[in-house]
Amino acid sequence: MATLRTPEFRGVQRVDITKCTGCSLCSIHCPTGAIKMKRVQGRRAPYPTIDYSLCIYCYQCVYVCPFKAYVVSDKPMGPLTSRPPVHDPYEEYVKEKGEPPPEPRMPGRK
Amino acid sequence: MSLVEEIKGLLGDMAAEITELAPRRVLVELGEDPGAARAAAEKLKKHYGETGLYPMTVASVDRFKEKKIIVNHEIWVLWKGLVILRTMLPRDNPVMKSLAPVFPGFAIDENEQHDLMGVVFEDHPGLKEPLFKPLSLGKNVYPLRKDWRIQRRDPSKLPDRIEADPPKPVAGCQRVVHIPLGPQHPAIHEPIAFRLYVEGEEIVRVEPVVGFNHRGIEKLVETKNYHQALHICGRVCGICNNSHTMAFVNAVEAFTPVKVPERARWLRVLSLELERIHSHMLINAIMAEVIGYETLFMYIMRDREYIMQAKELLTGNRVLSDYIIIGGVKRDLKPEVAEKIKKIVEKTIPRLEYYKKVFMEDTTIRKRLEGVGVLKPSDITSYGLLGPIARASGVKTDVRKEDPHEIYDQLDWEMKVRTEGDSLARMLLRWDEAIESANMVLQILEKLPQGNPVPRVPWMKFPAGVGISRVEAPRGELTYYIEGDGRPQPYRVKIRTPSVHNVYNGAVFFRGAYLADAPVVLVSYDPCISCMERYLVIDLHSNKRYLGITRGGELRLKPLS
Repeated sequence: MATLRTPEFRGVQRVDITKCTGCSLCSIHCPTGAIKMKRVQGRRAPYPTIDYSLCIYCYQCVYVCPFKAYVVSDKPMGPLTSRPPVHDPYEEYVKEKGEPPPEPRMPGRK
Repeated sequence: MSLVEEIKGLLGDMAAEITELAPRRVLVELGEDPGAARAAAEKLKKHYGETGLYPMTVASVDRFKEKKIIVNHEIWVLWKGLVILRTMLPRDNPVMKSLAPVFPGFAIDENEQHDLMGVVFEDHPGLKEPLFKPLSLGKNVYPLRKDWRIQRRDPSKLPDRIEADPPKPVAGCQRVVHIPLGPQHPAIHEPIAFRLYVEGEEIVRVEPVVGFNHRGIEKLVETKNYHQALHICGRVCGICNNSHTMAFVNAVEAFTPVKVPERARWLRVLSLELERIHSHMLINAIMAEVIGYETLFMYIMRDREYIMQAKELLTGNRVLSDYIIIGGVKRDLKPEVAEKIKKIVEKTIPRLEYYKKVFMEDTTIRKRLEGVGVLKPSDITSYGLLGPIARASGVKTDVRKEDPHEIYDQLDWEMKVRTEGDSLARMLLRWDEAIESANMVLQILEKLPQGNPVPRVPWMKFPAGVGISRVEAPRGELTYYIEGDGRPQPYRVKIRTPSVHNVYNGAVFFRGAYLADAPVVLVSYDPCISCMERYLVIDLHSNKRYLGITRGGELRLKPLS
């Protein structure tokens, strides 16, 4: 047995920005204030950023998200020095795809 | 006859109003008379006897708009229900008569309310201020009052050195040595200090010193909404985090019209019982370590790790589970995961039985624990000691049987009671309970009803009301008093953990024990402050100071200049 960690472990959660509508529920519910809503030029809806140095992995954000925009994993965070502790889904999308993510489609609107 | 009718017959002439808040919870409004609560408590004690009821806690609430402070003395009548004696005091001069002469267990609770809320209790055996709040805050500052705001303090203005009270001589004793035990304890990370006054080998007086780790959680949760507060309350204690969330959720659900799915109730109990098994295994492992059996410590901790794994499979984390939420649980249990948990628990039961046999039959363990720290049933009830300590002394009290919440009344289980009252009985009782809990887990996995335990949307409407919950945490009864006023934040959250009574009041019973037995008695209480590794010895007569070092079980004294 290399590790006692099970696949049910609550690991690092990330934001799928293509699903996020900017409703801010996760930010309202976050007990430690690790999730902050951010606005950028050219995007109508705000989007959440997660500060992993504050996050306690309670998964309240995963539970409350009405659009299932949080992607969960069973990987622990590891030392915070090895990567930026703040997860900014907008910037990561731009870096990966070379273009800003599409605007959210509000439910019930065309 | 129900408890309300009994109380109406007993206290009907002195109370302004007697109402039933919830099943088994009776509220007695005593008006503004500062001596009424004491008279009522004396009447209750006379009627139910010394071992028929015990002091639970004192919860005071600052009603800022009405310019009143209400003080609730909560007294539990064993197997019947809770009596809340409510006194209204003027906010600018809150003085009332103390209940500590009737129930010595109320002394620490009243002292806490004096310290943080500013209520003055007359005839109290010794109101200490500051007790929990930081010394730098100063006197006459009461953080739990509503006009006190959380503020950032300037670190340059904090005192760099705090003088402890000088040791006092003990009446009737010739040569007394004062030994501080703590506050930095290596066994379990709980900073608490005991000032032991020793004559020869015998302890003649104990003064607990608390407040090293007071984090002001009660004030903090008043600024957060209910869902945030739930996660903060889960962090009051690491080992019993599930019990804390359960107690919070139970208290909120008492005044909120939220419906909980049946499957969620079963899953909640499943997580609570898994927690009890690993907590009892931990404290027994620590006891083995204190006695000197480090191999036994490692063996028990290895088997405990499997239970932690089962908890991780269920909730997603080994320790801090954050599993129970208002209206249900946070995630469902898949059938294949349930099968894994079942296998782990089935594998653990023979190990638990084996360790129980070790504790029962090993000569060294028996010699170290048998007859050490004996508690009488009347001590237990008047000082409000709880949980396995009470049950090991023959007091039949268990929240799961007396005041069943969730589905405890639908399970087939037995309350374990021992009558010896010594340290060995307390440790053996924990093994008994762990085995019983493991059987309960298997029962739950078998009978688990179908359905969706996860509420679709978080509950957001919280009305005004009062909820009082009791949950049997591994260390004893845990109670929350929550008052809501219709806003998204709770108005007042009062937490009474079992360790407050067990550590602070249990320390009184070190008197008469030998100095070498102090760590064993402490560990058997399960607050787990143990292992004197390094301490300071002051000879009060010659005023010489020594540094004491324990190495290989041998005590050496190094003189200090």
